[in-house]
Amino acid sequence: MKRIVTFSVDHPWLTIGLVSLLTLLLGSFLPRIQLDTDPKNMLEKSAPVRIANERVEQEFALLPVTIVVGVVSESGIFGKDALGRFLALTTAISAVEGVVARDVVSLATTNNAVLHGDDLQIRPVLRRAPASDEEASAVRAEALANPTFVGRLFSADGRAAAIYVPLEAGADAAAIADGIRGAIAKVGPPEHVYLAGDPIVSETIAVEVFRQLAIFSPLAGLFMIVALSLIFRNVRMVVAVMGISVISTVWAMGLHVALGLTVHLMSAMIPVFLMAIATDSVHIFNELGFRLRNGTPKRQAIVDSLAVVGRPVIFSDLTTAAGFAALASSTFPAIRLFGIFVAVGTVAILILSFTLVPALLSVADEKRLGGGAERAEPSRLSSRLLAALGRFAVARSGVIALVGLVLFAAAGAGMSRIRINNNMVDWFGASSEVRTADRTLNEHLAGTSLGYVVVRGPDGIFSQPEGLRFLEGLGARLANEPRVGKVVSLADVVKQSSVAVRGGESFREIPDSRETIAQLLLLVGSGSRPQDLDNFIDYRAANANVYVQLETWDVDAFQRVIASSQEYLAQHPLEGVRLQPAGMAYFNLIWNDEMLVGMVSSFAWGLVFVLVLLMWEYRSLTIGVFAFLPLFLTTFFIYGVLGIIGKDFDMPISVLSTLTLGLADDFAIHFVSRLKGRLAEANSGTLDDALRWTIERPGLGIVRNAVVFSAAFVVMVFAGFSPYVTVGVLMASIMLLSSLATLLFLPALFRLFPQVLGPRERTLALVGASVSCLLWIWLAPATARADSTAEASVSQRMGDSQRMDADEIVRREYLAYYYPGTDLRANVTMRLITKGGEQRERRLTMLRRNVGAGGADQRYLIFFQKPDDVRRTSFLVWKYPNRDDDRWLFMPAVELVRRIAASDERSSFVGSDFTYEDISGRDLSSDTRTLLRKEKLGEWECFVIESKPTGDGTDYARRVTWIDAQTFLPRKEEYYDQRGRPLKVFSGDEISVVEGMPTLTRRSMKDLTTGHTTIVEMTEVDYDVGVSEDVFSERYLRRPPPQWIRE
Amino acid sequence: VSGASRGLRRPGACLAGTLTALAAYSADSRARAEDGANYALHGFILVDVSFRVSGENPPGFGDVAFAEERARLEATLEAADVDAAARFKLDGFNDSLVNRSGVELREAYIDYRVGPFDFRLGRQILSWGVGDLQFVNDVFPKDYAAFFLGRPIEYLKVPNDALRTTLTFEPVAVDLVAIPFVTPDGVPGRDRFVYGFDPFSSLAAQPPSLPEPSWQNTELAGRLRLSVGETDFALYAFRGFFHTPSLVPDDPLAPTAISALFPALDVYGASVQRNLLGGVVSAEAGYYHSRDNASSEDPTRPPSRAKWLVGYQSEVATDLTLGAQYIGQWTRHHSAYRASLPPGAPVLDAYVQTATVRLTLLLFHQTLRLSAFVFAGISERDLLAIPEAEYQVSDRLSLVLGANLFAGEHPDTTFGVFRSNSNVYTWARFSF
Repeated sequence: MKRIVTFSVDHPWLTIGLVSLLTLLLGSFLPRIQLDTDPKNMLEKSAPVRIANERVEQEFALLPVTIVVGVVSESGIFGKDALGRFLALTTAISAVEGVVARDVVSLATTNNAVLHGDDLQIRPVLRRAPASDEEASAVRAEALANPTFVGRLFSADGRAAAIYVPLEAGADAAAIADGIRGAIAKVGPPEHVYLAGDPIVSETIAVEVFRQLAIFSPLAGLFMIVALSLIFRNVRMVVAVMGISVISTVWAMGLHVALGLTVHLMSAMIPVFLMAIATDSVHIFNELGFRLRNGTPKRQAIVDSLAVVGRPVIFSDLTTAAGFAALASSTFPAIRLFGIFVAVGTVAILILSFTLVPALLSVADEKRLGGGAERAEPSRLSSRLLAALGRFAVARSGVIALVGLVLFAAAGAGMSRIRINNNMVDWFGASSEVRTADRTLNEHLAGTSLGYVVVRGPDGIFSQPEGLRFLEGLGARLANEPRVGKVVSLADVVKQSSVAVRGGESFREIPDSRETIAQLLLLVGSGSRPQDLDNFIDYRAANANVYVQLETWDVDAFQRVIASSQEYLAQHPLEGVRLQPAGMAYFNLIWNDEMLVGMVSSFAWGLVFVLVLLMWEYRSLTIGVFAFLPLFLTTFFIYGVLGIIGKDFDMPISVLSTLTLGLADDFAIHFVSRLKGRLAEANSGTLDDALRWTIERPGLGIVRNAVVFSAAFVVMVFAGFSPYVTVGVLMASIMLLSSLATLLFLPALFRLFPQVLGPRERTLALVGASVSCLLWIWLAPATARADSTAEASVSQRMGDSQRMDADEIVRREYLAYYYPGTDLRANVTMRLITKGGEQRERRLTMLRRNVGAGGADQRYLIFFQKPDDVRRTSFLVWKYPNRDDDRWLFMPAVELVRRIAASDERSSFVGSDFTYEDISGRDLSSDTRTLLRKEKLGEWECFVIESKPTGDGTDYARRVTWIDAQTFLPRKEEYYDQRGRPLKVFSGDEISVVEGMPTLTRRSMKDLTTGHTTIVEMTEVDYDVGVSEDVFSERYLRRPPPQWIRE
Repeated sequence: VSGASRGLRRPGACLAGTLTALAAYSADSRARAEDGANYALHGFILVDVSFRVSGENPPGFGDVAFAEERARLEATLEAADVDAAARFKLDGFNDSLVNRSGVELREAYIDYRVGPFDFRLGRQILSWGVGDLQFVNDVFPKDYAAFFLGRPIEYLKVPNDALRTTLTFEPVAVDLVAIPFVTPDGVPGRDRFVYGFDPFSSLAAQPPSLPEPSWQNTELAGRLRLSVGETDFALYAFRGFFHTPSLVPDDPLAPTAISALFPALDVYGASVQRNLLGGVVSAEAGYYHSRDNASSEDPTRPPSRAKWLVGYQSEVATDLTLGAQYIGQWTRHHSAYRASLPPGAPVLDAYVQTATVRLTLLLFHQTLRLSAFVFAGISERDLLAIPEAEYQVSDRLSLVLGANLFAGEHPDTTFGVFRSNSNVYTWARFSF
């Protein structure tokens, strides 16, 4: 370390040059930055809740991303002109690009069934602009007569109406919101028009995070510069500190981008965190100031300062890095990346502290530096204050410890009152556009937050009276929940059509006969918008969807909905029925739980990491615990205050808690290290003297660090976005609390337990390690929480198969054959049979998962069970559609993982007649295809497709495939050579429906030239079991997860 | 003649092993206990013979270099509700050549996985690095005697009693291995090998003095792995001892006895492996810091060295794989090292270059594997060629026929020293 410092002092320009070069190099990657601003994407695309939600959406033809447009008028929206404008508005909005026009829901689009004389009409309430006031009031009367509309499509008082605007999958919500605003401006209604709903909130959060970051992080930097200048009055010192934070940010973010990783919202916070951590270098300047004042020559002073401050700086930075690196234990990629790159940045800060800082100092004009240091001499006042503090801390150690204990107890009491909740709308200021819109719409309508409760039962149950009565009861129960605005289920639809068909309110009931119900359902389903029925029930009448509109974004509201529906089911049991929550409200609930709980458990890991490191560094359990206390107390105290003032423990707070890992302990480390150093000196005097010296001299550095820092971040309190206010308040309080805790409680503790500083305690490496192991084991269940298994059953909706071309058919074949489910677990038996009838058997367990954008990449983990001499051999494949696979093989006999060559996709898979390509799918782009005909193969209607490879490298010239028109699975495939002779024949022998997905469970391939046949059977096939992406790695290749490889 | 007949005389122990194994097999090779814990029993029976073909034999021995019957029992126990497992591999063997029977505990360890941690405690085979039968950072003990006799490749690896901890935060993983008991390499013995150059042959050999088990002598090995899709990076570090003994005469001028020492060794290295040029390209480098001989002036301890390799492997045609490697080794302080050696002792060049080539052809639905592996010592002008054929008669029975062919211009080089030991080997293995 000393050599590095000396080198940097002696070759300052070279050092500065090298640092600049590296910075330029890494900085050059920054323009390639890829941002992902959707807070939802912090939860993996393949998270079970996302998968389950997507299934429910598919099943009920729901469009998950919906903007709510609310029209509010004090004079009512049922006037002649107002209705006309509303119709125009609906039409204009439907025309916006990216909006799924046919699914827009409003009074002007949703069908209503009414009886006109004997004539039953099914059409929207508002189908044309009313020509007269009478017509307008007729519209009103008709709308009011349909309770499924009231509260959802318009308010009961007639002052508000809503348009629900679903967005196409993957559409740019911001652009569409702008398009909608444009449409509104074009229609120009005098009514107030509000935009609300999840896309608006998410989009606005993304915009706000970056916008406010752009305002406040430079502002914080500026305040920091001012504070630094006031303290040190030396440009070079200020430049050094700021330079470190900027350069470390460039390094960390440059590397982040260079590795091709998407920058999520969390990673966007990295610069702010690094700016905070960089202030650690203040300790170096503090010490340098003292030394220069003593008349030490500059070069010597620099080297000496770094020698004494070096160890605590290294150690506190490493502790910080370790603390953040512990966030890598999170199951969420966004948190993981954030933790890792803050750690990277911290290490960069550490490196820079010993290279760039001495280099910059040594090129500083000696006189000016000296002069600066002269002025950097602590003012009388701060010296006197610290001296007084030192005397107080030493003299009143008992009282301080007692106060500490009381505060600790109080904080504990406060913590027990903490409410974990997340409400993204509340992140905005009370008068912000987002919150106003949300509040107004929630006042008038049934709520902007939508969740579903899916009721699953046996086939046909929801076309029977008891099924519908169950839904009716469930709906009534949920509607009674305090923050639920509206509940609509199939029961309401049936009742409404019953009224319409039978002509009178008295018929608002569930009919007693199956036939009547079937007729009513047929009637509703035959309207021009089949989705009006599809949204509520699937075609087998086995699954029904209950809409729950909530008036709040508080996640616990939907939690109550779930609990309440479970209670209802328990009280009214119905054979084979179970419940599954879904929808955006449920997503937010899970997002909240997973992220928050994940964050807290990662944070706990960080704390443990830091504690173990401290014990290790000081080779003492007690000193380790002491040095850990300021961090612990700070965290504890902040949480306690949150509990007492009743602020929700939400996402921003849980994220920022991790900051204590980086900051709160630095002071303690400096304090303890310097105290120990002082005690080791010959003339240190008594423990009390040493304590006073430590409070006065390194203590000044601590106070300066705290002041610089709080000054910088207190400015964020003025941001109009609560996560930033939280940043400001938390940073300032962490600084204040931990510096106080360090300067008051640590001396008190050391005075009360002086023996810990005596000759080294027992070496506690072993104890430390076992304690940490125990803690880890204790914490592990929280972090390793198994992904809850996603809900089953999806109905395969095959669109109109008549009009598809060959490419589309084969694409569907691939989806059905190679890609069903997000993941798969199956036992595979391959029987290799020679012409003479001799048999060999390969038994393997296969795990697959679709990953990457659109799930086009696949990962396979194949574990061999038989034959015995290859048992435990496992095989990992990362498959990409457009380039060579990555393949690894684990050979258990020599315990070695090897990467293996994978250029030849046509080589045989484990000696069978199937090739690698046959197992995992040939690149779609490597064939040209023609649809030959559609014909019956046995009893199955099939497409017959001819494929010809475009390149060479195949052992056949063309192949003809019979693809089942219903399931899109291959029934038969023939391979031919150049001369048209058949080479191989594939046959799909058995198709079973597994969890709603047709699956080829038995297939065979016969080589016609050798007479060799391979029969593949799949048993115990399971889709979406929740095999996480991590499983497809060397770790699990060596030792696959036992729960999945058991036969 | 006597050696050969001796090798085939004693089927008793072999028979006992076979019976035990078959009994276990017929009982139930795979079962599931009531409580959800899982156990499985497997193993094999192996008959392995190797004949020297050079005509030169160690004193008192015939053409048979190795003849052994071996039965393996492998038991696996998996815990019910935690991710933990125990595995035992126990070999019973009867070495017909030296008339010795016994049991060998090949592996016995407990695996435990919790959060990001994987622990493996007990006797285990340790292995890493990217070379093909060339080890740079894999300094864990190897049994070259087994390898040169053509025994199954798993016997090249000598198990260690160790604790391996792996901490994984994909795409990064850190392995830490602590080996409290130093295990030496298996060195080809004089009962089975004819040495071309053996300056100490006439001296009494003291038993090797392994470093005493203690905290200080616990070997530590670490690896940091980073996998980014198509590229695997790794950094390695090792602190421990050379596993090949240094032979130290009691008196350098008039030796009467030699003792085998294991000098201290640190290794630092890195490797990278990725898909490239239609195959897999590997590179690995390591620096061997001989801690007890930093200035290379002590002739009884190896000097510090750097070793690196570059390799390429590709499937050039369906079921035909080609692999090639270049290995370089550089001795630090070479002049000091050379000056320190006593006159007549073999001197290793400052740069030593070796190349290897491997060809593997799979036939008949991968039931017949033909392979050839050649080590060519470019600097040392010596060679080891291993042609081998393996035929899987059925899913249980496989037969192997191969040869180790040594050649060398000088009797004191890596392979030249064994040039009278070219052998033909065959083994049959029945797995269950």
